[in-house]
Amino acid sequence: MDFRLNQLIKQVKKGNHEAFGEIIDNYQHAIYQHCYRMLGNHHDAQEMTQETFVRAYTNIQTFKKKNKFSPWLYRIATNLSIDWMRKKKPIHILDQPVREDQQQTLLDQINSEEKTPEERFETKELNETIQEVLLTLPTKYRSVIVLRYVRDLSLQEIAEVLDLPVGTVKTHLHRGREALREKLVEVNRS
Amino acid sequence: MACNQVFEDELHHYLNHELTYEEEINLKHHIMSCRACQKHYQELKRVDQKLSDIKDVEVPSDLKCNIMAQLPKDSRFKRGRKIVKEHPMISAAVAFFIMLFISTLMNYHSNQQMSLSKHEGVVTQGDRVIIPEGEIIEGDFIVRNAEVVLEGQIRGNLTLVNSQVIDHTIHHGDQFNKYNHHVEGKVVEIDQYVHWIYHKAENEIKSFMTFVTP
Repeated sequence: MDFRLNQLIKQVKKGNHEAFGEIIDNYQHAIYQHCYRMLGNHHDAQEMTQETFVRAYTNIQTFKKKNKFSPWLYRIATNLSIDWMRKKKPIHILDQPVREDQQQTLLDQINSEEKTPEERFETKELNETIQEVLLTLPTKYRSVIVLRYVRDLSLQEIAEVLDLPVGTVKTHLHRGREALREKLVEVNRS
Repeated sequence: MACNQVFEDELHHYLNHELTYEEEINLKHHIMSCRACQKHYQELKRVDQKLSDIKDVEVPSDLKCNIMAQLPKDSRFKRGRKIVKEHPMISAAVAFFIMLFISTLMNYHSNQQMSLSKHEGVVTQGDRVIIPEGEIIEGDFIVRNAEVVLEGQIRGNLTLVNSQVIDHTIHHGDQFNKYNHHVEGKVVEIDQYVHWIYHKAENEIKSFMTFVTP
C-alpha cells in the first residue's frame, strides 16, 4: 500500500490526473466522514472535501516523502473546515446567551419553540443528538474528538495531524469529552 | 462531578485505555464507593459510547467527478519551470543557444541593406556593384544584398551574401568557369539563412582559434 501510494504521489507530482484519481478513491471516504462530523451537514462536507483534494493536488510539491500522507490530508481538511466555520459562524451566534441574566441560548429557544421534548425524542436518532452537541464544541476540541472517535486515529496520529504535542491532544480530548458530557446531561434534563 | 480532579483525570485515562491493571482496579473500587464519581463515570461512558456509535455517512457519488473537474490543468509555464528545476544544465545550454540564435537573427536582419568590402575602384549604382574592367582587387571581397557586375579581377575569395553575379560578357563553358576569368580564389554563394549562419560560425570559430592559439 505504502509503495503504491509513493508511486502515485510521484506521478501526481508530474501532473498525472489519473494517479490523483486513484488517491481520491482511497481517501475520499475518510475525508468526507471527517468533514461531515466537523461541519454537520452534507453540503458543507462535500464542499470542503472537494476543496481538500484540490488543495492537496495543487500543493503536492510541498508534500515531502518522509511525511505520512493521510495525516497531511487530514490536516488540510481540518484547517479548511475550521476556516470555513469561522467565515460562516452560525453556531457561535446561536450559542451566545440571549440576555446576560439568562442561561438560555438562542439554540435552546429554537429547539423549545419547534418541538416538545417527546417529539424530539421520537424524531431524533441518537446519532443526530450527538452530532448536534458535537457542533457546539469549540473547534480545537471538536477536531480531536472527531479524529479520535469517528476516524479511530491514535493520540499520536492526532498529534501529527494537528501538529500539537500529544499532551495537548489529551487535554483537548478530555475537555471535549467533559463539555459533551455536560451538554448531554442538559439535553436529557430538558 | 467527580469528587476531585484526580479521579476525573483517571476516568479519562481509563477511557483512553491508559491505566495499568492495578490503577484500573483502584479506580473501580473508588467508583463503587463514591456516588459522585459513579455518576460522572456513567455520564462519560455514555458520551464515549455515543461517539463510538457514530455511523459513517454515505459519500456523494459525484464527489470524485467534481474534484477531477476542479483540478487545475498543468499550465505550460509551470511545466516549464518544473523542467528547468529538474535539468538545470540542459536548460542553461538551451537558453544559451536560444540567445545565440536570436542575436544572429537580429544581426542578419540588421544587415538587409547593401554592403560590400571597401575598395576604391569599385563603383556602386543603386543595388548594383560594378567592378570595372582593368580593376584588380587584392585580397577577399564580400558583397551583401546586391547584384555584382564582374569585369575586373579579384585576387582573393569572393563571398556573395544574398547576392548574385550578373555577367555581361559571354563565356562559353559551364557555370563554374564563368568566374574563373575574374576570381583567383574561391567563390562562395550564400543565399539561405542557414548557410549564412554556418558561414558566420565557421568564421567565428576560425577567429576564435587564432585568438587562443597565438
